[in-house]
Amino acid sequence: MNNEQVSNQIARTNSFALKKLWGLIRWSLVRHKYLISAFSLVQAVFAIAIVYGLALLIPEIDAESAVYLSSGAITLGMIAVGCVLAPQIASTSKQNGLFDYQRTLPVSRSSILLADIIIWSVASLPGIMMSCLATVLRFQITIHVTPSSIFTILITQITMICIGFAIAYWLPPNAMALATQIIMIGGLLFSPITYPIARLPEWTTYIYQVLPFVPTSNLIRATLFQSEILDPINLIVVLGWAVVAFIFALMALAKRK
Amino acid sequence: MKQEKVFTNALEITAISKKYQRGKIPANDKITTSFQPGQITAVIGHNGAGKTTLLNQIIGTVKPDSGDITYQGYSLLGNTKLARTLVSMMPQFHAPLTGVTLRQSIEAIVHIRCVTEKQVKARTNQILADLSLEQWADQSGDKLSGGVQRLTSFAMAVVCPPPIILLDEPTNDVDPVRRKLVWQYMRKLAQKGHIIVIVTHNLLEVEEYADRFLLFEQGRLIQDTPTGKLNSQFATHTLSAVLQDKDGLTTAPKALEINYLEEEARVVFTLTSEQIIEAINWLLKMMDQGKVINYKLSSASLDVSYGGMTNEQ
Repeated sequence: MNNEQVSNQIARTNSFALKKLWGLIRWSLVRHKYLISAFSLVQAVFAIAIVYGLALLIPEIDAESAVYLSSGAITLGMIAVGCVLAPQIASTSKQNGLFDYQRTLPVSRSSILLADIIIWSVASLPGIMMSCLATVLRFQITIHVTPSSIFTILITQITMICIGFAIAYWLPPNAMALATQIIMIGGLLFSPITYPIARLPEWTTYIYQVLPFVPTSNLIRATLFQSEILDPINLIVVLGWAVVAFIFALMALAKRK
Repeated sequence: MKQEKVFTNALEITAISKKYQRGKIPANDKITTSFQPGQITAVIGHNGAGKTTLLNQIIGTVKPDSGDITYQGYSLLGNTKLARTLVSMMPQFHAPLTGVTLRQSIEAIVHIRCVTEKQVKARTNQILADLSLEQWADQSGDKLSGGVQRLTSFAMAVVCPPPIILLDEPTNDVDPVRRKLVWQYMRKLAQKGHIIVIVTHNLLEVEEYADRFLLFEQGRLIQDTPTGKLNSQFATHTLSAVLQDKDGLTTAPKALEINYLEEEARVVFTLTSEQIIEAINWLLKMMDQGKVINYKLSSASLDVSYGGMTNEQ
C-alpha cells in the first residue's frame, strides 16, 4: 500500500468512531443475548424479594419505611448489575481472551468501555422497571419520572458499572469475586439503603458518606420518590466515583505490558 | 530548499528490546529488521524465543523498553491507536467465540473494521467461501473444533485487511486441505501489497510457502534468510529412516553427518550428492531385511537444519 492509501485508511478509520462503537455494542449484544435475558429475570425476582420479602421483616410499614424499601430495591438492583454481574462477565472476558482481543482492534479504549456501559445500563433497566412496578403495587407510592430522576438513574448506572469494571480489570478473579460479594452483602445488610441511617451508629455515617452507595440511594429518594431534598454533596460524591472508576477502568484497558 | 522525507512502505523494527518482570526475563534483545509489502515473512524459533512478544509490540499491547517501530514515517510505538488501525492480529490462542456463531464473529469484525453496511454480508460470505467454512457458519463458536476455531480467528484477522497482518500460529490444528487455503489466502494478500508476518512452528510450511524466515533464539534474531536460498545455502540432502532396530547402523553408509534419534528410532543422514547412491543401496538392503519401517529422501530442509541453526536441542 502506498502512502496515500494508508493516509486514506487512517482518515476513514478516525471518522467512523460512532459506527465502530455501534459495532462493539452489537457484538456485545450478540454475545450476551442469553445472559442479559437471564439477568433481567434475576433482577425482577430480586426487586420483588426486596419490596415484598424485606417488608415481611417489618411488622408495621410506615411511609418512610416504604420509601426506603422501594428506593433500596432500585438502588440495590443497580448495584447488583454494575458491581456484581458486570464485573463477573468482565472478569470472564479477561480469562477467555476477549479483553486482550478487543485491545487489538482499531477502536479507542473509551469506546470499548462505553459500549459495555451502554450494554449493562440497558441490562439493568428491566430490574429498575420491575422495582418501580412492585413499589407501586405493594405500597401505592407515586414514582416521579422527571428529567432529574432519569439523570440520577443514568448517573447511578454509569457509576456502578464503572466501579464494577475497575474492580474486574484490576483485580485477579478470586479477589474480584470477594470484592463484589463484600459490596453486595454490605449493601444489602449493613448499608442504610433499605432503612434510615439513624438506625446505625453515628461513626458509620462518615464511611457511608464517602462511599458511592448510600449517596446513590439518597439521590434516588430525592428525585424518583421526592421524599427528601436533593443534597448536592450526594451528587458530587457519586459523580466523583464515576469519574475515578472510569479513569481506572480506562487505565487498565490502555495498560501495556 | 527543504528536502521532503521519503518514507518506505516497509515496517521497520529498530533495535527493540524488552525485559519482563522488572528486567529479569529478557523477551527480546535489540531486534532490528524490516517487513516488506508483498512478502510473507515467517518468524520461527523455540517456545519463549520472543516471537509473540514481537507481534504484540508491533500492535502495541506490549511496550518495548527501547527501540522503535515505524511504518511510512509513523511511529507505531508512540501511537498505539494508529498501530491498531494499520495492523490486524490473529492471537496465538483462538479469538474468543463464546456465545457467537462463526458468522457472527466475522461480521462483528467487519462492522468494526470496514466502514459500509453493504460490505458486511458480502465480505463475510466471501471469506467463508474462500476458507471453505460455510458448513459451520451458523454453529456456535464454542462448539466448533479447535481447527475451525483457529480458521475463524484467521478469518477475523484478514476479512478487512489493513496494510499489516500479524498471524500467530494460524495453521495449528487445521486440516491439510484448509492449511493450504490459509497459505493461499496469505499469498493473495501479499500480492495485493500487504505485509504478512506469521509466527509458526511448522517449518515444512515455511519452506514451501513463506518468502523469508526470521529465526529467533532467546530473544535474539539469529538468522534472517529468504527461503529460496535454503537449497543453495546447504547444497546437501537428507535421508531419514525409521529403523526396526539399531543394529543396521553398523553398516551405515558414508555421510556428512549421522544423527540417531533414540526416542523416534529414526536415523537422519546428511548426504552430499555423491553419497546418495551408496545410501540408497544401504537402504534397499535394510528394507530387504525388514529393518526399515519407512524412509524419506529430500533436499536439505529447514526442518533438518533448524537444530543446527539454534544452539538448543
